[in-house]
Amino acid sequence: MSVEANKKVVTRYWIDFWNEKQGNIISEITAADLKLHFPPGQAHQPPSLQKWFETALSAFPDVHFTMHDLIGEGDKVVCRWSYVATHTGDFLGNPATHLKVTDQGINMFRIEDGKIAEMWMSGDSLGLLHQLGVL
Amino acid sequence: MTRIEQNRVAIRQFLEDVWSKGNVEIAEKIIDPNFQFILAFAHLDGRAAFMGLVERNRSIFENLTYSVESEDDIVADDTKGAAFWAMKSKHIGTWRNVPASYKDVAINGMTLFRFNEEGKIYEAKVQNDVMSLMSQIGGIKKLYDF
Repeated sequence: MSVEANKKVVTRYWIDFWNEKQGNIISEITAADLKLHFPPGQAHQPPSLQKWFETALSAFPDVHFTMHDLIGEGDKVVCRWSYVATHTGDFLGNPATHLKVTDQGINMFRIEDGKIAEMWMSGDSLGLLHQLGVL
Repeated sequence: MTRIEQNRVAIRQFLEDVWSKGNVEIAEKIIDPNFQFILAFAHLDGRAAFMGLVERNRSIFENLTYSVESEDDIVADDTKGAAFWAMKSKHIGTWRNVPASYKDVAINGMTLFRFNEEGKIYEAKVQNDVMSLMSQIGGIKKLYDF
């Protein structure tokens, strides 16, 4: 796959999947054994992308991402992103705060056969917990 | 060396020579004087300010070491690049109002770099696991379990 094709699948991940909530494209853009790597300091450690999506849809249903940078080389793509979302449903056992929150981060993706096979995430958990009034 | 290869080398030097060794000569070679160092909680304006931070953090964090485990952990094109890195150290001084804990600490993070036409780094945006670092040095208290 070309770097451009790899960037395209990562763009679909943010725009089609997360922003347009097209949950049915998971198998089209990610490998069945997609491996997720979260930083230990992140409170939310979803076991799968499907579960993650379901939690987001009930806790932060209006989540909207902006892609700020996209870099591709070989089988890797890196994206710097931010999102805004409103906490309108239960999240990690905590009821809705109706707070509007924002987060920012950098993700690295490994693409295999045109699908996302592995993803490393780094977000601003400290900032997010501040905004939710946990700290 | 192609521009991409040069950028990959500069990224490794930024982490392993500038941060881990405090090497000023290499910093001046690879970093633009108007360098911007941007984290979620801080913004350093200029290479001199950044080198001040490097010096301070290297005295607060003993044997501060940033490393990139594999070449696979660096991704670069002609004008930008990013690295997934590991940091290891011992916390021996006050950092962000948290007094020395004398704890061994280790976190991972990613940094996105921008290069100017000369190939010098003019911006680095860092996303690190500061939540985990704060937990390791006892610098954070959650008001409720989240």
